[in-house]
Amino acid sequence: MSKVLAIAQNTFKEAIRNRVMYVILVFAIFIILSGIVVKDLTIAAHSQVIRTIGLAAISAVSIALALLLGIGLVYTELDKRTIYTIVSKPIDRWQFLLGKYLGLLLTLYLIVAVMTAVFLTESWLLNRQIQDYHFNAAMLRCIKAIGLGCLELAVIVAFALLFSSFSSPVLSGFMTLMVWIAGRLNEDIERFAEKLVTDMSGTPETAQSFLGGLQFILGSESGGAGDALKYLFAKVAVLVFPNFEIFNGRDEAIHFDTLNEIHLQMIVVNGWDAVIYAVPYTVAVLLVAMALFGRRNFR
Amino acid sequence: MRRRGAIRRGFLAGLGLFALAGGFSVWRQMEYVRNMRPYRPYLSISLFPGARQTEMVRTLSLGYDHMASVFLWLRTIQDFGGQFRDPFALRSLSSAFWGIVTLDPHFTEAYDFGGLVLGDEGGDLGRWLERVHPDGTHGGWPMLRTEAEAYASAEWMVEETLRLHEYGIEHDPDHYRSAYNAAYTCLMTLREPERAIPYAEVATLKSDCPDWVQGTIPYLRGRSGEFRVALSLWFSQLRDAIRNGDELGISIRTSKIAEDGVNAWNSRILTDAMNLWAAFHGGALPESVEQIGRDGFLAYSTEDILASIAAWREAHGTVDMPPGLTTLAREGFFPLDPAHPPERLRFFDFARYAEDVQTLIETATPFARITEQELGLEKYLTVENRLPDCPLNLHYLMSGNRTGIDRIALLGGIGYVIDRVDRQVRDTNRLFEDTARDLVAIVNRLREHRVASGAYPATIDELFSPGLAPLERGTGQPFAYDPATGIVRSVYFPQPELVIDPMEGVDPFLMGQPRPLDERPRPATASPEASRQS
Repeated sequence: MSKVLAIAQNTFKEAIRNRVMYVILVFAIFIILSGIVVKDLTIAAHSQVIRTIGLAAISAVSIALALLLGIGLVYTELDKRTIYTIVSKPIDRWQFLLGKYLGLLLTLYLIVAVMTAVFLTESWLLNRQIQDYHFNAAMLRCIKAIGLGCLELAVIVAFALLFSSFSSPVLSGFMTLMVWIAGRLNEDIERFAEKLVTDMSGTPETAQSFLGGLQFILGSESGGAGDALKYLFAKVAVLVFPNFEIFNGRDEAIHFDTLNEIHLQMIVVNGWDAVIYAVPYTVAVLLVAMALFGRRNFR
Repeated sequence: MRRRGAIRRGFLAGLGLFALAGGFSVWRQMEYVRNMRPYRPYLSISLFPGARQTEMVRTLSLGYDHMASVFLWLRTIQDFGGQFRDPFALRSLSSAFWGIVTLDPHFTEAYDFGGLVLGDEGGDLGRWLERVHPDGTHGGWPMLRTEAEAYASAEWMVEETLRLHEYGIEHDPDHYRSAYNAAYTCLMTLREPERAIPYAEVATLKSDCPDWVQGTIPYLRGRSGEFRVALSLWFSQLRDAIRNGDELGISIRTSKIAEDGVNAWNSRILTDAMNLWAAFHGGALPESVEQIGRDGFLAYSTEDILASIAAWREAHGTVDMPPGLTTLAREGFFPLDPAHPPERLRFFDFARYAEDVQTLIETATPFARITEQELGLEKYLTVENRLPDCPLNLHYLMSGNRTGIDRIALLGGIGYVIDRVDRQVRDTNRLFEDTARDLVAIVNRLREHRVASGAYPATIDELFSPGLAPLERGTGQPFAYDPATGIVRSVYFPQPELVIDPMEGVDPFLMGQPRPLDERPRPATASPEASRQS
């Protein structure tokens, strides 16, 4: 484990020396602080606007950084040929990859912590003017939303590492981005699959069953092989790609004080549920990455 | 060999772990798909104009729906501030509002602001009429060609507002404001209270709906001509207000009961008359209300009312007023003079209704008995209506099971009349007391004048001459003054108790008259015993 931690420490030190990261961090802080100006531009919903901008900025910037830093993790080592000095030492490849993963995640969490501190301070200062009655509860919900965003980061970094372990940075960047988009649209893809069935006069229950929906499309007069293939593709995509809506706590953080209990429960994300989902998913992706990286020829 | 075996074992362990983690993840994912949140407005928004574009924005926002809606919100505010006088610009803002609420259906302020921009500003017919020009453009501005287009445009804006609010009612179900704003638009912009009623009723069902919104429903019912329904609602709310000790609520509800009561009664008279007229004319309807009256089908004319009131008074003799009640108050109590301003004539119907209370008792539906305390009308009991068989007596009206909506209307109307009369009585009594105070002051000054100069002044104004102690004019009313006797009277209040003789109770000697010998004071004489002791 000490080897993994050593690699992680090294990765962390390397990442914080990256000047691009600081530029993006400053940009993020600038966006978060823009709430001060935007507060005066809006005629109502001041707290909502400040919270929305802050949470979106933290989430978007941390994901952008995960992509930028994650895709180059392994490639940089290969490009600079430092990988040879590492693999020649008594360290397994999976340990190297895990160390890289943990180091990058630590870096990202540190950045998120800085942005969160800025956001909370700004909110606290602005609240002295706005006098939001639900301020403390709102901030707790915001912290929860940011925490859920950290789980999302863990999954994305795992994917970035997976793709960078066998491809070039551009390709791995593109693929990670596609996974992230597919993850964000996961529920929409499922609805698309459902719509294929319901458009052929099928019921939503039929559409929910994987084989049932497929059989219905193939048996339907208006359905064809093309529709069946689309359905199959959509259903597989829904199951394989991560569902990032599970980590979306922003709905709750922004609207918790205006919804009644019943409707609030419909948008509240169970934090433990998200952890239980994120951890095995990340482990699975990392295992694939390790398997691929373990068989890679560095020559 | 050992090395290869170890690798194979590691691989198998990794594969097993992957199968476990991956399988668990897929299983969890299936669970999430099964319990997918049905809260997003994905499927239903295709019913609305421009929804496809906003749905595309929502998809492209990749989970940052709120951020996109906030940007659109800020942009909309800026656009509205920049060109709010241009109705065409306001029309184009419609899609912006749809965008905001599609991205974030809980953006309550967007529904509010959308109602203001699209309904109040964009639905303003005058603005559209200003933009009518037969050429289609004028001075570089786009124009409408006909007035019909202006009407259609204004109507479209208002209907669009209502569609936006309906979307809010459906997708932002925890807030009353969309429903209330829709009712407001129907009432104030469309002038269609009937259409506003269901919206107002929906608003009152929301948990965040303030109490005062409850009052809009009977108000709208009344405006829609459903006076009896309105009355029952007002009455129910009045009871709640009384239970809660809400003085303002009691006051508002009572006056509303009076208004709708008057309307209900008038409506009933007119409906009866119209039915009679229609039956007499083979089902045809009269051209106007005036025609009904002209043909003699309006049974309840003002003259009838006055005659019946006069008959009642004749049968019951003069009302014995409490001694504190002044003449002016007596006059104020019976505002049944045709010379009174027209706005007061409506009370006549109620007076007549009160005359017909026996019929009311016979026809009214039995209802739960309600006490005066519950009604909160006790404070209106005063003077004449305390008489046991007076039609205005609330005891008389309320005894037995003579409740029902007609009675409620009656009580409300009478309550209003009595309230007004009460105010007059209070004001008049206050004036009476002030007059009495002034008269005492004037009479005292007259006495002083008589003592000082041996005679009364020629006019009261002399009492206010410079050099004398100041005397307040009091109420400023005219006084009748007799310089020979020094008696001064109030013109407004000629009651005998206000007529004070300056000589009354005063030693005539002080007023310059000789005192009779037997009444002259004698020096005290000492008794023989006392003389002896001294």
